[in-house]
Amino acid sequence: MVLSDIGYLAILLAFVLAIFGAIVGGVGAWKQSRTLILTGQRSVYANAFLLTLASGLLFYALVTHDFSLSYVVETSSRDMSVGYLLTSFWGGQAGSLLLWAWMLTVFSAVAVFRSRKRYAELVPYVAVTLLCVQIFFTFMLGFLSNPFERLPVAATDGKGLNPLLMDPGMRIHPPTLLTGYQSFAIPFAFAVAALISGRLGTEWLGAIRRWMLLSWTIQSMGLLLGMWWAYHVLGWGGYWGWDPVENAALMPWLAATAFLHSTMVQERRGMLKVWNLSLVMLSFALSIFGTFVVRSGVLSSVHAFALSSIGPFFFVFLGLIVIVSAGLIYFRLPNLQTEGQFDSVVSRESGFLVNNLLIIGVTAATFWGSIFPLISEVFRGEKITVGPPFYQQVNGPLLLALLVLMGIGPLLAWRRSTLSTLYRNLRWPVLFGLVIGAVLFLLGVRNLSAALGYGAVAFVAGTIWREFYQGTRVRARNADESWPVALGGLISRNQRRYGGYFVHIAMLLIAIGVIGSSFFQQQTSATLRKGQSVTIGSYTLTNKGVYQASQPGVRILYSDLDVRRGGRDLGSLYPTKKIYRNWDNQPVTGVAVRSVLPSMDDVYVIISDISNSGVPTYRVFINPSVSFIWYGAIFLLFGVALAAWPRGSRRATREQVRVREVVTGEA
Amino acid sequence: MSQAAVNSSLPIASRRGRNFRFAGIALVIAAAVILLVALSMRQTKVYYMTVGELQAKGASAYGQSVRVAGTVQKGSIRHLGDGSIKFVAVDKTGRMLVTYNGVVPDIFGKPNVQVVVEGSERSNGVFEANTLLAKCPSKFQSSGNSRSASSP
Repeated sequence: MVLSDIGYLAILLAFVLAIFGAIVGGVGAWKQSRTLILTGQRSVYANAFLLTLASGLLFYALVTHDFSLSYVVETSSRDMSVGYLLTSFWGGQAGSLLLWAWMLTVFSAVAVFRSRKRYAELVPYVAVTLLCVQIFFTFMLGFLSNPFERLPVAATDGKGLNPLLMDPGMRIHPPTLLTGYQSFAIPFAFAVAALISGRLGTEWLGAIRRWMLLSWTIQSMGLLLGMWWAYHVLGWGGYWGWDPVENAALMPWLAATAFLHSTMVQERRGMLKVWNLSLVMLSFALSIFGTFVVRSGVLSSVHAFALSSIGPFFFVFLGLIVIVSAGLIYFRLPNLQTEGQFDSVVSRESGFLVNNLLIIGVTAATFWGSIFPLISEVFRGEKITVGPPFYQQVNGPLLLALLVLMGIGPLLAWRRSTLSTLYRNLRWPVLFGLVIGAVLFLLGVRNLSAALGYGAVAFVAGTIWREFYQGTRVRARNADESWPVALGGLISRNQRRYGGYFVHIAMLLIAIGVIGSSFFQQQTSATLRKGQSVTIGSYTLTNKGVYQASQPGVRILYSDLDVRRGGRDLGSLYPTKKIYRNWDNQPVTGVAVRSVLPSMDDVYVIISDISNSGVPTYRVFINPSVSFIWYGAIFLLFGVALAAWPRGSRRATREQVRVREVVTGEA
Repeated sequence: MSQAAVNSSLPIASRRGRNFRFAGIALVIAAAVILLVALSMRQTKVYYMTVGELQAKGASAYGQSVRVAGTVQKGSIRHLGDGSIKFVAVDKTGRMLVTYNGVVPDIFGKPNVQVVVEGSERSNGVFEANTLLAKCPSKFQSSGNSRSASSP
């Protein structure tokens, strides 16, 4: 087929053009030549087109079953539906790298195009930096991991996608995460551009912040979708296992979280400049590290990715990023002098500082735990690993401290807060948190950590409620508005602030889900003949029979389980075993899960085994409050949308300050 | 602008005192993180070895929490009916009987599947696993996950 060769040519051309554009654009920026600069930018646009073309052709090859391509043979087969054929695109290494690179070129083009006027001094360097990143990925695709590689003889049918990946969640979770990973390149490019050009005022901060918020949001969604997928598909009863691959996706997200907070200190006070730039660099380096860990097999992970030769290249690339970043920051140190100073330990600035230290603490501990097997092997000759208990013990207390700080921070005034104001603002929420913690303890939550966690959640919820309530009251009184109008006005005039609160509410919901499911999960295993029951907690499950069904290419065994709670019928659950053609000895377990109201428990069942005589053995989990996590995801999106929604923010500033003065007693 | 006035009117000594205070906060947090990591490391670290390496340790390994990598011997998997299983894990230099009660990953049933079990060896030489991970070296490209654990 000629078309697939065009795809490969497009990748090669993108590689050449990336080198060309980087050189020409670089010289242009140096010599201040408009023509050369524009040529560099056009390479960015052209590469977006070329990789879109290549990706389109790979989709086309998959959909038309072009089995002369080894990638198509490895990841798809004739009996797959179009939906799953699209999943095959990122079902293998070459395809997921192509997706990474494709998204990178598209994001690059959008970033350059949107900023070409507003950040005209930065854009030439942004374009060059992004092209350099593109050189690396198109090199990978062109010479080491080519999705358009041909087989000597075309196959008649493909091997099909691994059944584990045959799930709607796989259509959305990997591309989201890959898009998230690559998107950290954009703020990185702006940071490099600001450092090279020496334009280190505050104007570039806006560009970086917006792009970082986008990356953060995509990465948040990638992580949450991954958790959702793991929970609903993998059938081990949980959603997060502190595996190196999960940690790798979490770390850039953490660095970005830290940046989004500390950037406010720079915006407001001109402080923490070096720190902020370092966080931008760190988040990109960690996202490359994430991509690299996933692909290299350096860290042993249960995510069995194909091991490959591309690891060393990633390592070199990662090293380059770190060296260039550190070098640039060092080179510009004289221009990065702080403008302000910490005035008081009790201030918004110091709140953000502690927040950042805690987040980076979590990141460092997670990094250390992930790479420790490597370190111990090199230095002690024995491989020592740490598992979930390590991360729970270390990150648990740090995250709890972070949670409490989430309540205090927003109530601190810039420069200095008086302790009496703080006391006035915090006494009711603190009391509320203590009461909730104590009541839960009396009601039977006999786990100190859990009671502390719930108490902290209640405390933060109290502070957020106070912010909304007081802001609305002040507005309603000053402008003589009705309360709903005042609330609407308050939010729309302070979108960033209240968007941030909604994201904080999302974090509270996620915290409730995590605390509930970490401390109070119950599980049991039972072999049940037809009509037999098992009781776990307050739930009783009865096997009503095992049935068989078939679809093209797959045989499905399913069990009809009746679920009751204290006599109340909660309907049926249907856990399954699917046996795919080509994958006989790998039956796929289908999870059945039901969220029960009002207890907010998830009843989670899988068939762990079926005996030769057809008697199933079930494993049943009661997972309290997991669905709070998914509600949190919705709040998170809403909060980010609110914060980022373009609106005349300048007009709002004066009023914003007035409301804030009243609320925090800021002078 | 009034800020600048406030700043410059402050005596240098007190400014320096404040900076010390902030450095102090940073140090306390950093120390807390390092302490947490070091303590947890001591409590939760798990040696990672192959079946042969574990057996070479003999009785000194009994009761120690370890992670062991090996391959499931073909046809050795037995379901005991109560949700628990028994199988033989082998590698080039050793073999051991493993018991496990928990969620079994889907690809576990495949021939020659590589497993990583976490748990400890009892004095009768049987390995009691509380975590079972399975890996399939071939035909498995993307982010297929095969984790399972008996306890959260």
